[in-house]
Amino acid sequence: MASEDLSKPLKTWSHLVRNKRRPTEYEIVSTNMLWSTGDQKAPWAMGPGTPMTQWYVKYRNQSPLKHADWDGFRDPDQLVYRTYNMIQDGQESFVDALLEDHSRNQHDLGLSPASLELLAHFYTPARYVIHTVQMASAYLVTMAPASTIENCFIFQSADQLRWVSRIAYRTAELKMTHPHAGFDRDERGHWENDAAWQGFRELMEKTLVAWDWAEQFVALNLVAKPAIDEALLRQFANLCRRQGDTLTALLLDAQMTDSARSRRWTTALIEYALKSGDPGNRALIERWLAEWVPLGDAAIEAFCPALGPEGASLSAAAKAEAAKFRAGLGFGQ
Amino acid sequence: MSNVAVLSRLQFDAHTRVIDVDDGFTMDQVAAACAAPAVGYQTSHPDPSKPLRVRRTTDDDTAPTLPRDLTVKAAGFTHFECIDVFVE
Amino acid sequence: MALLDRSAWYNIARSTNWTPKYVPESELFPKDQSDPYGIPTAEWETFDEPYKVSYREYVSVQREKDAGAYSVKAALMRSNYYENADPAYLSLLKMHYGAIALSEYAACQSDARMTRFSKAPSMRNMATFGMLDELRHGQIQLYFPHQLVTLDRQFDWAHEAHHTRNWATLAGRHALDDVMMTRDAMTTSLMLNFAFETGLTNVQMIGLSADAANMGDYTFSNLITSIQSDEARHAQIGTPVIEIMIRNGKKAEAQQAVDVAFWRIWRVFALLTGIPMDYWFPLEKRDRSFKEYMHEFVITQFERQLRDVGLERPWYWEHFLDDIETHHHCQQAGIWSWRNTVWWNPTGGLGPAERDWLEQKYPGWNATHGKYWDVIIDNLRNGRPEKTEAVGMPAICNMCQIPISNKGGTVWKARIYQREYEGRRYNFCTLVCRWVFDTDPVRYKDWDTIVDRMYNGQISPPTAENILRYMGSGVVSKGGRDAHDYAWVKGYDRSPQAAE
Repeated sequence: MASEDLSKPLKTWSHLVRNKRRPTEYEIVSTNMLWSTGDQKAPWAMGPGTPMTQWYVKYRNQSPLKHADWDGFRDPDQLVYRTYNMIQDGQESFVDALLEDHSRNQHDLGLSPASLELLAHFYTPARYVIHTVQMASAYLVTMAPASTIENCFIFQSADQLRWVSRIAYRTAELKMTHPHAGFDRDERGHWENDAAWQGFRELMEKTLVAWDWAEQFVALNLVAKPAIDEALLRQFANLCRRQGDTLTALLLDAQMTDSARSRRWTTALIEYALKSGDPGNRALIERWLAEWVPLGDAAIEAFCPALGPEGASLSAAAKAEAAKFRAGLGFGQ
Repeated sequence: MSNVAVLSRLQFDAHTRVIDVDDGFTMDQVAAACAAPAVGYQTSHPDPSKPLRVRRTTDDDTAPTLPRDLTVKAAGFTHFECIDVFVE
Repeated sequence: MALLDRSAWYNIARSTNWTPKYVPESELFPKDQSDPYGIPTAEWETFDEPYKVSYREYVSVQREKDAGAYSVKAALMRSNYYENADPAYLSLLKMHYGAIALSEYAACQSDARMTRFSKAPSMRNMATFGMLDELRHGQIQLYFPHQLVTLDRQFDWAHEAHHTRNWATLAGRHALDDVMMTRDAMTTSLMLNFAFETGLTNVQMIGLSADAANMGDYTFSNLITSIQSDEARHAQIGTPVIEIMIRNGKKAEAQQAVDVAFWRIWRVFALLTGIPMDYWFPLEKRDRSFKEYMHEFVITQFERQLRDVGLERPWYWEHFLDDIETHHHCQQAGIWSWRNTVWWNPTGGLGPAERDWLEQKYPGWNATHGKYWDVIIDNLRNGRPEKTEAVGMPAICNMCQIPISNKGGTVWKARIYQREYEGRRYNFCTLVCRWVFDTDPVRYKDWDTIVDRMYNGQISPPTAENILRYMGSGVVSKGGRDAHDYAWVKGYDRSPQAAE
């Protein structure tokens, strides 16, 4: 820096010059944007007696998951706000078309009592569990140790609001055609009282208070989200499909597209933490998984069997797929 | 000899300033040190026909004017002492 | 059959509260992150936002907005506007982007805190959109100046400013850390959404946008207007919070939060907006004076908004009105004199016609601020430009981090309001900044201003060169110089009486 001619302009931001190539839009607008990570002891201008200062020091800066340069993480999709809205606008247009088509074809009137029962117990109440993922993702926005990581959580949280909204939409639709099936009335009761939901409820309530940022990330993105994906978005969706509820199946497939994106950057972040992070990171993640995977499996085991006679095999398949995702990250559980 | 950083407000100057003074400085020398970065830079001498005097800053401007030959040490100035520099 | 209207399902999407069972509610919503006011959840559930939007609408509308903003930029990039722009106007952009880009992004976390920790489900959803909005604002206000770093290295501060210890960015970060990064979700909403966004951003956005359009910079003008259209939506989050707090006996707490935040943000915004409006835009391009903008877009509107939600004007209102006539004038002067400490090139901009305009808009200007500039103009006109570069350091306020200055010339208003706390002396620019300290000394007492750091070893030895380096001047880029190389002084040669 000392020998640099400061009167000369730059080709890009000074912090990107070392890459010696033209930066992408993603790099220009997403990298190295947090000012609170500069001083590990003093994240904020407010003193050490301020609760929020203590919170960040303890639960972010002193997290046992360590990396010398979290800012080096890159989202493999290189998503920015501008492209997120382009993609999701397109995806939402697709969902609008699905809804319109099925509404025109009076899909809901053709639903069997069995399908309605499934929807009332397992689909419309899902707004609660999806909303908890919205909340947990937002916590991780506040606590991420780098802007490139934070952005992934922003999009993940927004995706959940998307699906809370779509589930709410379907709830209203179903209520219109089936006013006495408990839609827009019993959902909270199911979430709070049905045995089928208590596994997910316990899993998410506990995830929401796992304050260490990295632990909550592991609990949410490696355990809870895969469990929800596999049980609700995949097994439940397949069941709906087999029963002729094509709309719900297609909506859940669309929801899985967002989850797949989340899995891509989650994979990249785990790889980043393992490849260039502290050597203790692997054992740490294994330890966390040993604590959280049982809760994830318990959630699946509570939910899937309640879906019907095939429930046990749905449960096994869901657990296996979740485990397969983690195995792909290098974790045997 | 040790340094004390005083916070000076020179009469009619828009800025308050941080001024390093020696504890052996007289008030005349303190006043000169306070005027040095200000007069002719962003302000004029309040009245060149009169000497600049020093007093501690108070909310009501009633602190006694300090004797011109009083030293910083004898005046008891400590770190970030607020002083007025002015003409009587 | 058409798609359902949003109103058919909207309430369902914001019925997402549940009673936790596996962890206690107090652990799910800790006071320091959530609500320290002890307001019942049932009360929070009455939160209702006037401007409603769905995710589906959001991604569609925002996609179009970005397409518009980015295409205006692309078109204007071909026009060499910035290559030929007034250097003082470029300084405005450097200052703005440096202060604002990463600050907008920081607010993502503020909104995210509400999404996680608000007990009002509606608020959690609205804050999710707010979080997205701030991401937009951070990213677009990095993307737009990025091209300009190929024109002028000082634009690197658009990204770098908040990674430095420059006094100006310390002022920004101290205020923002205080009001929006380290508060519980509810207080954050009062301070950020209501006091900051509802109260103050209008003057920045409306005033700046109009003046930029007058300068022919449609890229920037359009950008700012586009950003402000998002602001209206997420700024509304604070209003229902206040109403709920007042209904639950917490009016004094809401009032204090608003009072603290409004003052803190005002002290910074006056520099970002007031200085360019009254000193940097060419006279013929000035829409209104800063004071006129403040009265029309802030005072009138904010007073009404306060009344509407059931709050009072802040206790310091008279101090604030006085500050509107004082603060930015003092800082135009001080920042110009200490221009080597900043990352833009301010202009003195004070020819005779400009002084006449200032006297007209701020009666008494010539007898106070004018006397300061008389000394400078005399030095410039008599071959002593080096005497216009300030020596030494001003005292700096332990709260707003801004040099402690006030009207001089024929009056003597500059003074330090000091507070001794636990054996240490804290210096404040006004009674108001000192009052903020008094509301929560534990929060503020450990911070060191640049001046504190000169004396506690952090800047060692505290030579002028070391101080500049510490603040990033001469490191990220060269420090500032007069944007016009003092050309504005030439006006006095034509009318020698005007300089007297």
